[in-house]
Amino acid sequence: MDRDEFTTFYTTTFHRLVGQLYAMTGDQAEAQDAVQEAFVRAWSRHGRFNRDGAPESWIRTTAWRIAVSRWRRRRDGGRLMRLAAPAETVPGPTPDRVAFTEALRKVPAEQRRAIVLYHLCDLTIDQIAAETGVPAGTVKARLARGRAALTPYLRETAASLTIE
Amino acid sequence: MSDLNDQLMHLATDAAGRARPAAVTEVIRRGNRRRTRTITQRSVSGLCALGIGAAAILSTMAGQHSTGQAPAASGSGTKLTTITEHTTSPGWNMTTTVTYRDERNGRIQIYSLTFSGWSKLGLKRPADATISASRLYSNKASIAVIQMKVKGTHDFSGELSPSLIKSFNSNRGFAATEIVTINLPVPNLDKISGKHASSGSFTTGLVLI
Repeated sequence: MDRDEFTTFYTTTFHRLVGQLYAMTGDQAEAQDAVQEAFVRAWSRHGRFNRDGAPESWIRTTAWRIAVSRWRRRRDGGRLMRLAAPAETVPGPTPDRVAFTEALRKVPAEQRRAIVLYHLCDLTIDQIAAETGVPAGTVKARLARGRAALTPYLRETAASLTIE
Repeated sequence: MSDLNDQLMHLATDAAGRARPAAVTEVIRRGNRRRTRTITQRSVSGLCALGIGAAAILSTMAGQHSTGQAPAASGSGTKLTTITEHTTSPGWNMTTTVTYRDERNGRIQIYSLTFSGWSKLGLKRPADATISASRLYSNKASIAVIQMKVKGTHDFSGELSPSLIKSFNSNRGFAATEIVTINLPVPNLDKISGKHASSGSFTTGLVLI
């Protein structure tokens, strides 16, 4: 990936990736920093990072690892979402949005990641398994548990959310 | 809005809208700096180990340095210095000779660099010897890697061509006290026992003192 290709790639995917990382981490600043750092790392190895033809997936995975790594460093016994910025950082959220955001923060990180990859990034179970490095069965279990935890905060029932 | 997809989409869209990306030039600048740092760390860690050995060798060879006359084109008045280093290990040996002049401004002008040796195992064909050097100055890293063609497999030799020397001296050059290493790729190196037989190449080092 040369400089022009990288510039195009950066400008067209940055915002989307920050949105996805925010849904995974619940922290706007952390999501932005992690994605930014992932792009820096991508350019530092620009001859190699696009080997599998999925640069966006590479950035997302790297940003997630950066976020998790930072969280571990500053962890004081709490969970990632407890350290995240509170919901009031979202400008003008509706009560539903606040409730949903809070619920999402309470879902374990790997379940939240699976939910975001499936419902937001439109990846298949197999693609999620490849990106997260776990078996497909584990992905399905994480999705089911994550949805179950979120069901009370959604107007629709969990029954309407089916796994492929 | 009520299903999971819509909720997530709105959440992500809001966050994406608030994202403030750094300029791509800044990302590229940081990426370049990160790459340089990574290369430096790898090189320095290898060179540190090598440098200890090289320094020991050179300290015993201090009396072997011969000096010649400066070339006619020289205007600095400094003399040429020639360092010859013999590296011997079970299964191979190599002699490297470097002639250079210290410009007394921290820079070294190379005049010739040759090597020759013998190996029980043949070198890889086609073989390229790699000269590498790394230094830090003003918190910036400078890495030099030069490739040279090697003649022969068991009895091998090579030199830095005059055109490469000229180009290198005018572009980067070496610095005084910089460690210069020469690597020769060797297949099946594990068949040779010895302290230098672990990296897949014969390595010898010199400090331009």
